[in-house]
Amino acid sequence: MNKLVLVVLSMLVTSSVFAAHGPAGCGLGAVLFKDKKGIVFQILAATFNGSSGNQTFAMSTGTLGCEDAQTAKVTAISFIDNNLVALSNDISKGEGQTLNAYLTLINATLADKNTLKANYGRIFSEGNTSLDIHNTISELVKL
Amino acid sequence: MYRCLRAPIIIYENFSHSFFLCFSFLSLGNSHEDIRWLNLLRYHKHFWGYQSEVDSTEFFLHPNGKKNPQLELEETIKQFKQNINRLCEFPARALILYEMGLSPSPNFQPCEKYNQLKQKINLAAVSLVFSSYFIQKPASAFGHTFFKLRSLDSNHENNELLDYGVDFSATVTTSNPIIYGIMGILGGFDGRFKLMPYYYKIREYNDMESRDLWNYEISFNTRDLELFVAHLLEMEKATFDYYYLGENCSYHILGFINAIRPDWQLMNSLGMFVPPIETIYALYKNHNVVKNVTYRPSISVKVEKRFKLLSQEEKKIFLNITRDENLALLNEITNSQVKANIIEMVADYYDFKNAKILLGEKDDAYALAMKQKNKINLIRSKIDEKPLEISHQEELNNAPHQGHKTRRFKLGYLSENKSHGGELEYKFSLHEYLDRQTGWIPFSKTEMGRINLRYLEKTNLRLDEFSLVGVDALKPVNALSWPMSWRFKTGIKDQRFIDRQDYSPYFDLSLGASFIWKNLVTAFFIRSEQAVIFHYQKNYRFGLGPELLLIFNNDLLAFSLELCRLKMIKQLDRYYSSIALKTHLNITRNFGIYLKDEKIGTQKSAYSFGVLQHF
Repeated sequence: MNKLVLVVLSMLVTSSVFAAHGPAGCGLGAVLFKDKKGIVFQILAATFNGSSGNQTFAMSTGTLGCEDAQTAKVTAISFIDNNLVALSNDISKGEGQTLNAYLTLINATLADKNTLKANYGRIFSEGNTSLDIHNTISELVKL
Repeated sequence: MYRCLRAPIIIYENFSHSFFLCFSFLSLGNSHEDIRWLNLLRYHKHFWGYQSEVDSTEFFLHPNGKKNPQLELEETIKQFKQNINRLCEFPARALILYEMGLSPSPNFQPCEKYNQLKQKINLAAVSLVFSSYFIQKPASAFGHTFFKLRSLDSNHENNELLDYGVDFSATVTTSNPIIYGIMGILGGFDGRFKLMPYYYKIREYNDMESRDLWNYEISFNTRDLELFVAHLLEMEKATFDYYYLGENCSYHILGFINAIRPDWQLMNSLGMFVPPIETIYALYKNHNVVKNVTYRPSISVKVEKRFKLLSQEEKKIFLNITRDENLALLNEITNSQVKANIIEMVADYYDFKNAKILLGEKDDAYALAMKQKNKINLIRSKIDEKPLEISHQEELNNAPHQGHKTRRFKLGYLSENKSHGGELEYKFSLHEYLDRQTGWIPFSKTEMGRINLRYLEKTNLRLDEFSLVGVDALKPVNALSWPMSWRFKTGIKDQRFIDRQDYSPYFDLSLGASFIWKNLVTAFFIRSEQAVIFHYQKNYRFGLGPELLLIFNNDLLAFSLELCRLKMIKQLDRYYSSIALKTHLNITRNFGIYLKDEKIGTQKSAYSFGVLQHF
């Protein structure tokens, strides 16, 4: 619930920078990742070709469930939430597909990626939330 | 009333059905048998009549629509004329009816939801994605498929992180493995299509499960892309009973393409059991279906390849850092290129080893792992040199669509205990380590449903064995890890090699370690065999002992040697040994010859040779 509030708030604050294209966090149905654990379940899943619904993969469902176009815009926060490790990797290298995607989503494709790389410690300082990360990057790329 | 004359003429490449050439002349009377209508609503003809695979009632406009394509067609036309909302709910039907000359060109202007979806996706291309196998994850053994939708908006970016994904999955309603298994086989779960950001799929399969993603871009034209999005909206109303063995995720994903392009006849080659890879093979039945193939390596492949790129000295430093979790060792490196190579390896390996935590629940373990992750990345952010680039040409040469077919039979001459005859083996799926390895996990076996029959002068025709499931997961030891290799098989077999037959359920399990050198794998196991033999009073049999497995496979020639000596603890208080030498000469992708020689204790001595065919 807190996460949902965070995402909604962050959307209100930063919606002006959201691009109108790219993968929104909305879907035709909810994405369910049940927490099904245990080797027996895994072997059964293999035997019965059941790949979905038996994952231990937890993901932020940020804006999932919203069906109308008004809320179907991309949320950078949701993107960071779901791609945090890959994004931090890319920023530490100053390049990469996840960083490019994120910069596209916030309409900052011309941003100097080396500036982000040089400020890695600031962007990902301990305790920073996805919103903090987004705000710091936005500030650095002068959105 | 809208029949013939208003219809546009649609020309398909390689399309032989006459209805596409002269569909303008169809009357409403037989229009319901038009393959476009039937495929769109997933109708199949059985000997008792038509029936749709869709199980949700809201998908049909006529109460008998599930079983009657004609009534559904008539009702659809009627409701489209009376109610624009109906047309908006079923835009793909509207497009198909227009193509069939049964309705005027649909006006979707008032269709808010459909237009929003179209605008949101702005579809430029569709790929069928095959999520490949990773031997360390049993759940990946059969593969998986879903769609990747490329948007026109992000086409120039060529960035998969901006794409959408569509999958078909079951909503699992139980965590009880037994109920799960039963419901999975009997269609007890509802399956439906879901749209999501494609990065979910990347994180889930590439990073979390270490599975390679293979993109097979479908050569859809403008009409197909429009119909695809329209059909996606319709599928919101459709649920299907999910059958794990047949009508599973891959079956329905291929069925979606089949609804868009009936002329490709993609479903024709599928059998009752549908391993996901068979749906990729189906794409290649026509030479023009797949536009191009691209590859996205898993985190495990990246780690493995990057490690190979390191020099001996770099490997040594990396292993020390990883073993002691001591990043301070990096400070001792003066050469910044070496430092760049090592920190890249450290970062990738950390992601691989901690994938479950880093991509899992955001709990204390996650916070701790992220703290270490940020320490690694902070060091990397201060290095200007680029690490060595990884080439994935080797993997591209081993693409899944180049693999052998999944069913196989063997037919040959058999000599057993000086009696002569023949043998027949039929395997429902999938792969074993003596088969051609291209497209599959090397030195692995994943079998479901194998039947062995033999005919001998002395005993006539008899069932030798029915193996329900057999998996050999040989994970060779390497510098990075010491994984456990295992073998598992269960089924029923004839335990008596003489006149009388005695079918016994059995369960064999071997645990050990394997080592690889070029095309040769050597594996050592502790083996256990358990069986229930009904013929004896003490009917439970248990054996335990060492086992050796040697495999060579260079795709053309493959052989294996299996040696085992078990101490029978229950029922028979004695030792027994077995030895088996098997050879395959895989002459083509799907055809080969085999030779087998085996000896089990003093009871059985047999050899056989013949042909094998995958199909």
